[in-house]
Amino acid sequence: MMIRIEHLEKCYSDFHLDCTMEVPEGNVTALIGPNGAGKSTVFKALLGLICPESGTMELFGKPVGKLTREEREQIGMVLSGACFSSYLHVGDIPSVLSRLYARFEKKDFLERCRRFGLPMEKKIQELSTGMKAKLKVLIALSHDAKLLILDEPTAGLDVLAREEILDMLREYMIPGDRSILISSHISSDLEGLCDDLYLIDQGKIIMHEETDALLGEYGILKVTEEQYQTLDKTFVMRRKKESFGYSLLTGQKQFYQENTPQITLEKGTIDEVIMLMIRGEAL
Amino acid sequence: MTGLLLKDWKLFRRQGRYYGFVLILACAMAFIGSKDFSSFITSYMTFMIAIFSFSSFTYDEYEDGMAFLMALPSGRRDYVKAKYVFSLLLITGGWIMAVILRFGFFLIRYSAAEYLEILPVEPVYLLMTLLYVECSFPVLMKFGAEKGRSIAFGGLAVIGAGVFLLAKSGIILPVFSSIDRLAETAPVPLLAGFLTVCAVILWISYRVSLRFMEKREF
Repeated sequence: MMIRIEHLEKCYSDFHLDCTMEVPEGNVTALIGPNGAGKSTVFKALLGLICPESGTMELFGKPVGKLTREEREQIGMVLSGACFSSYLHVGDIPSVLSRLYARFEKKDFLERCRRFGLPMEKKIQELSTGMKAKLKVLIALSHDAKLLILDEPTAGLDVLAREEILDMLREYMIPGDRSILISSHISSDLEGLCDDLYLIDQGKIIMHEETDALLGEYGILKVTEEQYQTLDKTFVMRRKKESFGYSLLTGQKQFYQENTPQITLEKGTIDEVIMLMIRGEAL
Repeated sequence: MTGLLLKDWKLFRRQGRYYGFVLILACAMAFIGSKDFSSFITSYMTFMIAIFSFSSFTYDEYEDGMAFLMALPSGRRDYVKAKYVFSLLLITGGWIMAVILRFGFFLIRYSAAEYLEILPVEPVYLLMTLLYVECSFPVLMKFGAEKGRSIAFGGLAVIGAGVFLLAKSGIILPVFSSIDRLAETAPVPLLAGFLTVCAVILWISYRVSLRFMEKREF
């Protein structure tokens, strides 16, 4: 197991995180949820930036606090908003990285910078948001890490750049013994990349599902008040009041397709599932 | 640690124009002033270069950069170590440059022999600056660059005012006289004593900084 988190608890004045999750070897796992749900807190805890009150966190089968320097070098990270000092030039980064990571691949890094049009002579603060995002991902990918912890890595990128980054992440996963834990607000990125998803809200994991299952088996039933009264609700997970009646989230799309073909059934997208899981009420 | 040292060095190099201005100002002031006033070269240059040790924290913290640095494999211990090593190297390097410059100034305006007379005083500027930086680092580590720097400068102002008041009241004069006498009769033990005090304070400061950084959240 690459990452194992059990009842990680962290309390702030108005927020309480209690998270349990796993990322197996060879998996791309997404942590999704609304702003302030606790995603960044989980990432920060994994990277040793905050001290949890209780719970266990293991990376590569070892407690986070006991990782050796060599093991920490096996982690590539993107932290939302944070990077090297903005006063450094892009051209300063390779020599610094080569002293921080024994397996830093300078040639590859420079080649990717060139491919993404990152100007070596510019200060990081002079880069556009998209350029900075690219630089952060390239840094994470530059040292042959076994695990990537990526907090909003595609934020601020245009469609083409996003696709290029996602391609690089897919390429990164080819050897099969690597893993990625990623958070993103762009669900289309996650649909095409992730093996499974954890949904977090108000500091708690409220759903864990494989992406294929979520996209293939989840659906949204659009029912009127009358249809709702007579519907078999065994596989309804959440409901939300609408002007026409109810939107109902189900994890057994096929059951309703076969038994109530007259009801409108929409394919569940990640965004809709998130929305209904968080805004909808449990039955 | 070398990666973090290199990062700070690259940031410092980017300030070349500013430090060129400091150099010119120090030289100009020395040439305008008297022989005694030439001490401005050593004191001013050493102190101004030391200020970059503080600025490097500001650069690190800009746009949440500290979280990124702490998540690097080098970790918190290496970060603290790198800050101390960098400031020691930087301040000592700046002081050596200033001493060479002042020596050159004496060669042009006065004589090498006259400079050799005042040479034993020069390490005092280095040690005082190092002491100030060492005492300030734990504050910067605990409170962050902006708040920490204000506290450090505030502390310097309080120390300055305290020394001024003590000097004016005459209380501190016997202490200075004793140091003067020691400097003449036993300069080596005096310097060794100063160095020992500096080393002890450096060690305490480092341990306290490390403790603060290990407890800090990002």
